[in-house]
Amino acid sequence: MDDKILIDKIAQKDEKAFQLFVEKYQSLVLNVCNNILNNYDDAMDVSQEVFIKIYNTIDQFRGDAKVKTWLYRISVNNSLNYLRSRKKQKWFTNLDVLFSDDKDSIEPVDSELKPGENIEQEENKKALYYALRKLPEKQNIAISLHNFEDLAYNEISEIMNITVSEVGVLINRGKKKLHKLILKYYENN
Amino acid sequence: MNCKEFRKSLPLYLDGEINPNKKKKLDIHLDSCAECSLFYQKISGSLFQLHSKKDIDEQAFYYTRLKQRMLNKVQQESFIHSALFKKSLQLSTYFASIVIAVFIGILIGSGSDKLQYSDINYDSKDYLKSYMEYQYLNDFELENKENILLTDTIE
Repeated sequence: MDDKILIDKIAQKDEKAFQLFVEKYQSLVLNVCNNILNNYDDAMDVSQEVFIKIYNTIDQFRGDAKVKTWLYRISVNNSLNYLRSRKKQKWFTNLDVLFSDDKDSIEPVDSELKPGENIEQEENKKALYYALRKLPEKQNIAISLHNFEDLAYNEISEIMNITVSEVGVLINRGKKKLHKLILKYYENN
Repeated sequence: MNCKEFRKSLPLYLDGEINPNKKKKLDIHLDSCAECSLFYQKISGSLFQLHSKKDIDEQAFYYTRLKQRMLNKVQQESFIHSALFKKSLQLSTYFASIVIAVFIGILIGSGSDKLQYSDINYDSKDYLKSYMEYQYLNDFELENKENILLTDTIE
């Protein structure tokens, strides 16, 4: 079924159309969230929130942009909001740790060793995600969309609402910074 | 080139923005130094991950879980609404009770417009009648009158 028809039907709260829409785009939304958050459970949570948001605000979709672009934009924004809220939570948790007696508590690590992946590969990923998280938000998003989602600069510019040349600058600067951050990670570990 | 110089030039080497002469020196050092070679391998490994697309396959029962979440959200919202209604009802009851209590207190405190103890004319024949109408019992006033009576008795 065509996206336009699906969206019109979802706007009329057609459950079947919403199911078809979710089944069509769940993989895209879930992967975008997972590439930004680097945590499967968080990505599942945020991706579901994305679809709930779509269901509730579908009448705001004007049809100027492509459905995919719109989905990417909502997924990126929701993932960023989630990261920001977690940063705030972490700040308060750190305050709790600071004022509590238990000074030896260790910060939990997001990435766990999955079966089939060797330790070296896991360490490489850890270093990469450490560096990506340390990057400024826009650089992180531009690099993630370009590298993990295989999106072209013009597609990224539409999603991020910036010019194509700005995307180029973000990716270029981001990669340079990324190299330094990965270097720093291995120097300290 | 020593290890310190190698690590310092490594970001430019990785960016591909190093001049050919310096690149040659770095390559030679990379071949000869095992420690720097291992260090470089680690960094290259991490950068390789940037180019390896990681896809999550389609999830079974994704829509079912999503529908359940939507349902829970609606229930949670209605629960919050009802809880808020209960809370506001409780608060307004408390507030109303306090207002009523204060009003009763003021009424008791201000007494009545009817005859006061001090207003009683003792010479009047209707003394008892007036006393019956006395509404507000003032202990201090009463005690004062009793003292006067006691003094009268001694004289």
